[in-house]
Amino acid sequence: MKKKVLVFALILSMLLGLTACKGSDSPTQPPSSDAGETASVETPAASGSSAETEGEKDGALDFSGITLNIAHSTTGEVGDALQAQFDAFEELTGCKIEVELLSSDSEEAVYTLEVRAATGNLPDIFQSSIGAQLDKLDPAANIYDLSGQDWIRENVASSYLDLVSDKETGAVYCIPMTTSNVAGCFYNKDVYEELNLEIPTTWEEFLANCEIIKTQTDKVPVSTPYSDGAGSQILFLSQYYYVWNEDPEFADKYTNREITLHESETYMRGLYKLNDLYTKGYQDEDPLSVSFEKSATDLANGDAVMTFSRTNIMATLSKVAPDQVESIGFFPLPDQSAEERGVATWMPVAWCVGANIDSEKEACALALMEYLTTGEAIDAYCQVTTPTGAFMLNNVTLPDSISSAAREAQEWVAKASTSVMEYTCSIKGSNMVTILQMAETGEYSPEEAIAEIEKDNATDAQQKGVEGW
Amino acid sequence: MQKLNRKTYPIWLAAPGLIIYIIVFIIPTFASFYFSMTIWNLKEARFVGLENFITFFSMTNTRTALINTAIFALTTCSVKIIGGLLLARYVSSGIRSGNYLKIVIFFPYLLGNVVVALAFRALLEPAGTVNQFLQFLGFDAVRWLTDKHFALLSCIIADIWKGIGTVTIILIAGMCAIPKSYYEASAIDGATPWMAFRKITLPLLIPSFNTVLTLCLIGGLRSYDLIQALTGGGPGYASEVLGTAIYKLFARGSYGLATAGNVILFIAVAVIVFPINSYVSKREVDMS
Amino acid sequence: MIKKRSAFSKITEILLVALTFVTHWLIFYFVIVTACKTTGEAAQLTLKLPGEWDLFENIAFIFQYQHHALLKAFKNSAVITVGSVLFLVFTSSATALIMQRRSGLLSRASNKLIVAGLIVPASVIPTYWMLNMLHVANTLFGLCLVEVATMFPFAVMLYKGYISSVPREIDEAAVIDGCGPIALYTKIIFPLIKPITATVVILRSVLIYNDFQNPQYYMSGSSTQTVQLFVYSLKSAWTTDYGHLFTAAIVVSLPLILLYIFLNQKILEGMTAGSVKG
Repeated sequence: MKKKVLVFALILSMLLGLTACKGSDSPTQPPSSDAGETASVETPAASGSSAETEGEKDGALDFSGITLNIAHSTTGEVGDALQAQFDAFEELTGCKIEVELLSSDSEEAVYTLEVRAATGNLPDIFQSSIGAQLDKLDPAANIYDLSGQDWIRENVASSYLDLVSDKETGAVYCIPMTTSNVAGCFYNKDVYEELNLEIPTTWEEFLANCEIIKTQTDKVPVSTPYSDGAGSQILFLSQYYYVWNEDPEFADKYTNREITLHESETYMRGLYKLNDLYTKGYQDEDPLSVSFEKSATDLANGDAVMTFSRTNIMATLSKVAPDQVESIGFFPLPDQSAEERGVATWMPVAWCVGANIDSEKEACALALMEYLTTGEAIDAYCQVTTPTGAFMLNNVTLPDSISSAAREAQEWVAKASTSVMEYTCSIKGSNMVTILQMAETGEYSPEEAIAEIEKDNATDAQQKGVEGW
Repeated sequence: MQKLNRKTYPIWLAAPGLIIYIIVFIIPTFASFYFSMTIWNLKEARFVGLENFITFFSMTNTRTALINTAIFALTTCSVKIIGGLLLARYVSSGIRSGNYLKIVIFFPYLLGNVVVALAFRALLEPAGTVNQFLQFLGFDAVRWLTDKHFALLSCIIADIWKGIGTVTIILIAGMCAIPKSYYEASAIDGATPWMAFRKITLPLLIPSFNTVLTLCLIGGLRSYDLIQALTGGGPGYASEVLGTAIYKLFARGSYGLATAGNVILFIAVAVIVFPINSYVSKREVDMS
Repeated sequence: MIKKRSAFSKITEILLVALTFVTHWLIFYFVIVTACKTTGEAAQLTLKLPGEWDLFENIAFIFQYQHHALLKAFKNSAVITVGSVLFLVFTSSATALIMQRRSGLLSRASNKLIVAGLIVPASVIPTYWMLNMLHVANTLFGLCLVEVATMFPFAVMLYKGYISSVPREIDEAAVIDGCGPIALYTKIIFPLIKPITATVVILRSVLIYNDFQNPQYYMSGSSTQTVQLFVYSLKSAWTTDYGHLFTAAIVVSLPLILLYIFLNQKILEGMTAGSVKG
């Protein structure tokens, strides 16, 4: 009897679920009229109306009937901003854009694209990492050369073009997709003021600040979102500024196997810093279950005082705690000397057009590329989220609404910065994240960690067939 | 007769299935032995001998994965079989709720591994339901998924939860096939239920037992999706198994090395499962 | 003696049934209740009833997420499941018939190959390489081929076991009546082995619908998602947004849950039949 009741209850809940599915369809349809921030559906009615606006724009950009397939791996606010750009372009030209989300683990996404490149299954337009990472896609064979477009040099910053062109042939493969990212320490200004703390200029001072926070409050000195692959690498990777400052050829020498990592004291200091946070108890209690979002929330409400992150944390902050955005400040990862401080940057990931794009789609894809480098597209982007770095485009100024922390970070870029090592050296083992996580939770000492990293990198280099490994 | 046979049962009728099977399963299996000895980017393969295997055994994560895979397979397998045996014995003894128990215990089999992993992740989060309950009872919270001592255990529990129903159902079927008269005869001879279980049920259950043992072992050794979705192999390498390690290598583009991992899995399954299978089969008792 | 056992037995029975409430119903309850909650409330991960019933909003949200990606995923899963199972049933039953009825060298050799395939794991990347050479990599059809090939040995063994119980005299009578091989297979044998076909269909549909590993590997380079991949991608995009995650999990599992509610006896029988050694 009991069983029957339970089964009945189960069936009932399922039926409720079913009717809910039916009911849910109707409320989702209306939003297509407001081509706004949420992903709207291209209903026949909507495309009809866009065809009308088309006519007003003297038909120069009529791509109705064409569908572009676009693959990227950006989610969250920035993902919504990209969607807003696509919606605006659909509205403008009547084409249809189908977005496919790749793994949000950006390295995995790169390899997904690599498999597709190797098997000739690339989408029309896709995201790509740039610098040394771009080579993996074999751009000469797989990516459309944009150097012939008249807008490219006019619209895209030349420092960015350097990273996405073939030095020998002059081919240009990409345009920037989002904003650049600057890594450093984000801190809660209110708490700093409350405790009378000064911005630390050396790692010693930084630790002293942590000690004060730890002893005088019950706040977490440094929030450590290590559950996140990116979150567990930021501090370590941004140490590269000091490595580069000491030896600008470091990445090349390492690729050519002229030097090792563990012999560079500066490189090792990145691991020692992680180790300090762990051994001195300045980090979250269970860092492996702290997400990026939680870290941002804690920072905003003062439960945590500092965190090492990239400027994209400001986008998350403006979502989880819009009122607190201006009480967050920025300073570079401190090292040994106050005079030599600087930051590591990540260039915007890129959009590429597939080399084998259908000829009827070609014009549409190129028009989209051009559109994405214009102020119009940036406006669409900024309506959804406040940018947190530079777009690497000419003729585009950052809006006034940009947060002061992001602005401070940009000032550091102009003063002292380098892009992180992966833009110049493609060797990176598959277990980097895990090894760092273990170093960050005391499983590995810095020495053990570097030994593991070197071993892991060696395997990667061998599997990639890098010469000399 | 031979001729009639050939006409009635032509080979070409069997061909479609066999051809698909050979092309998509057998040939890649043989090819994997070659590719495991190359540096391979899907387009060109450079022969490097046994280097990949040496690398595979020298990498920290893959070595840990080998040990974890063994632990995972053995633990899930033994708990599922012993638990399943007890449950089956009990459920098939004609109790009123037998059917209910069967239906409920088997149900998780119908859920995808990703779905099961999601539910367990929510239950086992640091501030999740299980810890709320532990703290309510006055115990300390346990970091089920991020403590290296518990992560593999959590995966094992989730796997058992999902898989024990299948084992139970198969064993029940095996028990029902044993003629009632055997038990009646033994009861007349004064055998206790435990003796009857040992002397009648167990020996006659060997065919079903063999099936579940093979199923569980293979499943345990190959396990991948549940762990991938639950812990991703972490923290560190604490719950890394061969399946997750191979996927990581695949996702980083080390196709030759990943294939070497696959060949090692292949050999492990063959070396462990085939002998056990034939050993157990030999103990089969003819029921007729 | 019998009476004494039944007292003990009753207590165990009550305990066991009570235990299922904790180990199973509580988990189902937790998942369903969480799916009804708003994001903030769901994040607390309690067993409390929702303060605000948000199930419909959650369902609407996951259905319209990413331009109705879930609907596409459902379509793909349906195509893969139905396609592979149909393909599997016809190819494996035909192969099993020939292998069971003939005893030549070829039959014995294929038998060995098939028994081995029951046990050894498929080698993933070389299979991808093969699909690519056949120009079906990253397509639904390619994935169907992989599913058919991996399930093939098991299905053939089941069919062989069952066909061996169909007397040869029936075949002979049919042949005398003028049946060709095709007619014999489609008109005589196939209808006779319907029960085992039902088993194969039920068991394999569940596995293929729930398959995660094969789609993840073989569709890794394509826009085609299955429902399981869809839920997994939500997991990495939303991390701890359990209200929406569980809604998606329930919606995706619903077809099989409904099937089980109405056909649980059939499924359990099928499971049993499927376990008998071939």
